[in-house]
Amino acid sequence: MIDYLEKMTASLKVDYYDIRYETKHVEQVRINKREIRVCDANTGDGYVLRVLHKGALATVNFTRPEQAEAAIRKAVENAEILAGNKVKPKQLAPAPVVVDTVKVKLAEDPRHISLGEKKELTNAYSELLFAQPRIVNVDITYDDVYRNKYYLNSEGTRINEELVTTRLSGAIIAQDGALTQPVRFAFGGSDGFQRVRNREQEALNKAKIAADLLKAEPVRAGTYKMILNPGMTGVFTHEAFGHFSEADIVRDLPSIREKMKLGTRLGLDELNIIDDATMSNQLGYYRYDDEGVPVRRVNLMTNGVLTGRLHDRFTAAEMGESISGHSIAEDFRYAPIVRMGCIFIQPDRYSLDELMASMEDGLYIGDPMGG
Amino acid sequence: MEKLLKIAASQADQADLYYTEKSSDDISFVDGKLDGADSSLSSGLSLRVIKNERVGFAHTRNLLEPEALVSQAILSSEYGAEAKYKLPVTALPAECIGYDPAIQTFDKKQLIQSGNDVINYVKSRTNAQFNLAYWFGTSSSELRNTSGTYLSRKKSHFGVQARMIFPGTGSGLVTQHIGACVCGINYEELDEMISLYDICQNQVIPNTGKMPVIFHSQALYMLLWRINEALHPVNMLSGISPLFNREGEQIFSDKFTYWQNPLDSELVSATGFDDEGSPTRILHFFENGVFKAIPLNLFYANKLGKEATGNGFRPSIESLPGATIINSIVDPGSKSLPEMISNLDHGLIVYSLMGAHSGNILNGEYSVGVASGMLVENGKIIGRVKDCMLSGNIYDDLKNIVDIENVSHPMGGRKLPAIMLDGISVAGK
Repeated sequence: MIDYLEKMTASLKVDYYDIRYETKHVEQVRINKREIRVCDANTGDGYVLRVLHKGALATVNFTRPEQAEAAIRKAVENAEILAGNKVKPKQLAPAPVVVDTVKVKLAEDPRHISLGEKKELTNAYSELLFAQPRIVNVDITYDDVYRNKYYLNSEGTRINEELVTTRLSGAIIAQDGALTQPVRFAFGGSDGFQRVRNREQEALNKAKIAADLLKAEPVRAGTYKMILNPGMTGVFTHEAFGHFSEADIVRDLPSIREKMKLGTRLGLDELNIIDDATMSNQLGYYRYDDEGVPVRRVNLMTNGVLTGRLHDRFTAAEMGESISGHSIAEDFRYAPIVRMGCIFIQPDRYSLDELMASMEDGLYIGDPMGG
Repeated sequence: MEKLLKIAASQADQADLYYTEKSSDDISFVDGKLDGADSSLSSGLSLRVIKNERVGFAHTRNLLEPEALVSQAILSSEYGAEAKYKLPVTALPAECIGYDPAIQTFDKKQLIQSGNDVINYVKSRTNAQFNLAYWFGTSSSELRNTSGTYLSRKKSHFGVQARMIFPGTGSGLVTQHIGACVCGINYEELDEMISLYDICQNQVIPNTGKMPVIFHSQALYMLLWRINEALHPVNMLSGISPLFNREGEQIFSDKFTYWQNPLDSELVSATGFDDEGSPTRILHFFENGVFKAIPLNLFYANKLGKEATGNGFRPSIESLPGATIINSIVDPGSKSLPEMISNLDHGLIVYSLMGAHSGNILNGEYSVGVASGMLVENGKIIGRVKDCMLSGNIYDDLKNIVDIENVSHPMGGRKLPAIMLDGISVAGK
């Protein structure tokens, strides 16, 4: 495939280009109210071409190989238009030339498990949860995604990387009269099918929470001390802090750029926030980003002070900071943008019980609904 | 396509094939400067088979082996969802509602010139960060099934969005137009945005309490989201929708009428048939606050023992047709937005919200941050609110509609007015 991409782009006469071809195979099972709604296995594929020409960057995504010529023409034409309008020239931060093939390492490979077995597993969780008190609906989805990415750029980088994620997620709904309470759950990772096995107890705990919520007292408006559970902390960190660590967002919002200057104190001494996409047990795992840059662990906040930012090669050059390997596309349909890999807060010295004891009156926030 | 359907027909009881091809372009200006020009060329097809009353599904972007695609669909039918329905027989001429062929050859240089004119106009009047985006494209789709239906449609779209961003935030004021034909932003609209932006330089934290809130047409989707969730047949089938078994009941204020008009050509999704070949139809969900009907595709219509309403649309070729409302409309009321504001002694007008997707949506609850909203005192907007949240439940709040704006604004796939509700919980100081 890499040879094929080389041929496809051989005629390009521009300062820089890269092209990514990706196949994405998805197997999924969805069961709602004990009935199968989706059970299929499908593959999609497509190309994303980017050219840097006269200081302007243009992207074209396309589906079929016979569209390559038209895509190249459009990309160059778009770049010419941008350059003709004197856009601020874009520069690429230097990155190592990489030639590598990354095969996925899985404890249990979901690609070797039949769709029928996946259906059985999903159904077993569904039936188990349905049997719990007050549970009136379980909407559960199993999916595994196998992405096979081929990337080349005009600097000589050639990478083929496989990624496989496995996930089981859903909503458990408890009902009492007109009141319903949904609770969501999700398990998964990038290291194999075993991630969705033997999670029954965790699922049952969620069903109990849904039923208990039917009797929950509404919270009174006011100002409270709060302890956030890890799920809520994750969403809070991702939404309220993480996105502002993504350099393309910061670049496009000059006033936020000022707020997010490295060296600024934004948190307590105890607060350390890290993005690390190199942990293979997490869903956000990858080795190379969609610019062929090896991803590295980034200390975004150290002892409450901003110490790092997530970059693609363009934002790194523009802001004079180091590349981090965070230029990521959702799949073959999209150009890459700067996005988090796996963001987390480093644990500190107190146990949850100690935090509870220190709070006196306040709220313990369980999982969020939405982000 | 025909060959593929024949192969599918030889192995399944019924089948349909949906093919779509799209081309689109976008141009963006960030902080008053041209920033990007990108394009997309995409296509794909999906195949549904029904065998032994079970549905099988397969899709592909690049059809290399028709037989393999059919086998994939047949395999998935072994475990697939129950399908006791017949694929429809529908005959309609090739459709071109909302299709402007000029968009296919639209001159980007000319568009950039218009964009620069808009930016120069704004820059000479305000220091606000100003972003501008244009996007446009065409698509064609074909649907064939083993009942003999062959339908095709062509569509085009053109969108423009102007944003003025409040300093230190990612939110701001937005003016947007989306239609089937080329459109633009006029100077009067820009003047209005600039004067509102100037008022927003004054930041206020409202007091916590209950007060009237005007949901601008741009913010109304948050309330409709909760209604749409309750209208979704999956929640009727499970019996967990708050509207379950309540057809004919007065649910909301009699000022509230919510319906769909699939053939309204001012809206970009206008079409006479859905993505599984059922004819679309005008459908009232709420008429004067009374719950009337839900949108149905073939699957849910069969499950609920009703007739399909032509709402079987696919978000992409990767999905089977869902039950999706199309061209939704909230009927206008009698007062203009300036009149509604001038009648408000103390309350808020909200333009955009954060976290609309969170909370117990099916139950009608919401708890949202105000991204862009203003405090109104004695009939005048006096400043932008900060650190402010709204919360409530639509089944209480939409009983208390004070006024509805006298215009429903076309917003791409919807036509919505502003709505003023009384007694909304506002969390502030």
